Amino acid sequence: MPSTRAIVLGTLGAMGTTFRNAFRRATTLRYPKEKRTLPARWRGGSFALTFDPATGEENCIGCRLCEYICPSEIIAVTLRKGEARQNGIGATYADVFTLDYQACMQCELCIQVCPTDAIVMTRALAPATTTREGLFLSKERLMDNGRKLLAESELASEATGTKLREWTKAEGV
Amino acid sequence: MIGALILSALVLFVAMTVVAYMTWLERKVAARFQNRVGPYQVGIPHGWLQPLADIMKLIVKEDITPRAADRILFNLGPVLVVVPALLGFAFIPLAPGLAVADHAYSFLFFLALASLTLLGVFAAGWSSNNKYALLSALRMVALVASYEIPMILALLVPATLAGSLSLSGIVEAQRGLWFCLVPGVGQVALLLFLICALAEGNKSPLDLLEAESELIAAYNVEYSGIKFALFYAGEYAHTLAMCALAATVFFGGYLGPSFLPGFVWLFGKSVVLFVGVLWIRWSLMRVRIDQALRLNWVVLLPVALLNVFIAAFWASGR
Repeated sequence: MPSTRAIVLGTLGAMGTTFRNAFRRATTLRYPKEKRTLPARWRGGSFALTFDPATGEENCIGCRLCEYICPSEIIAVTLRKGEARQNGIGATYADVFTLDYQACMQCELCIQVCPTDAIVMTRALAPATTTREGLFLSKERLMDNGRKLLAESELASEATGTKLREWTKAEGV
Repeated sequence: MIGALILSALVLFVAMTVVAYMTWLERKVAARFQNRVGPYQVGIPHGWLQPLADIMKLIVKEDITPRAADRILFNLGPVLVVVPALLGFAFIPLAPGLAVADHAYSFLFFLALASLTLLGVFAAGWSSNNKYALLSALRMVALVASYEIPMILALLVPATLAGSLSLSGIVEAQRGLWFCLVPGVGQVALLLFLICALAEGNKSPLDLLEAESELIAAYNVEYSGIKFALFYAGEYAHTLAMCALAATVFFGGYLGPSFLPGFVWLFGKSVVLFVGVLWIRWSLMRVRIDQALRLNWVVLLPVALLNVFIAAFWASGR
């Protein structure tokens, strides 16, 4: 049992704290109207599938590494063999590529394992929607995000699989 | 007769509206204490339509009665909570000689009605057939039954000082000096009453019956829709009635400079007291049940008894 003095002082201290707080400015941002300035390396936007801007050939080779590593198991990829690409290498692609953004926890593991920098996280594509379907990213929507990424360079996040692997090697981690 | 009916309907309407807006005020004040904004989107200046939206939402929600529940008691519970809480307003004097029910013992009636809320809560907790609801209701009974004693002893002080058990008599006796300003006894009685009213109204730090980590929500776990809304309204009506009672017996009720009518003064004092309760509620942490009961029996009860004796001497010496 604490002393009476401690109880009284603690009570008064707590009430003083709330009283001081009552006259401070509210930190609330009214989201759709006001937007927080995002940090430079923010990656909580949405996902995108990149492609070669010159040929329009998608980078994803359907290797399913991102599907295997995803802790939330929200990525589903179906591997398909297709005809040889124009540069002669790589004959596989993702027939179906879906990402259920509802359960994504932004761990970035899928980006880290991607051997061809196909999947990236974007910086400021607003992910907020009012429907569940709005968070379900089909391959078409991911490719569409990739096109937006090419149009506006500040949307792209810092990290791609290659960059991360090079950084890991250089740091000797 | 007709006049009394109109007056009671008016008081009921105003009380219900004020209770609805108390929820808005509570959310706004709580947000203020936590550097938030609170309700803002519904209704243009500061979400003033939020209570109406809440009521609409709760009315259209599905009303579930659990299969294992005792149907009659389960449906009676919310009514038993709301009705006594609202009936209390009938005894509060609104202006000199104006109250819905002015009675020589209105003070006692008010307190008896305020305690009746307990029955509704226990009916709800028992009939839900849910162990958490039952434990919560049992805690409520233990707490309220013990805190009732120092509360009534604290309220005996204004009655002793006024020499009257009618609320209008107590208010009239405060024309010279508000009872909260009576040196010593007044402040002690007010403090005791506030602590006990927190326990009675299930407000933190004495809201043991809704300790979420132990008891999920409270005695109303199984309730949904409009019945839950009634519990919510009953809780706020009870708190508001307690604030109105404190304003009446300690702060001179309807007395005040005559440029405003009496009931405006009463309303203003009640709201200020309610904000004070919110300040306490959002500052302090919940205490344990044994701490709460020890505080009651070891500290509050002896102090309250002593205070009544001193007040009696004070009154007889005048």
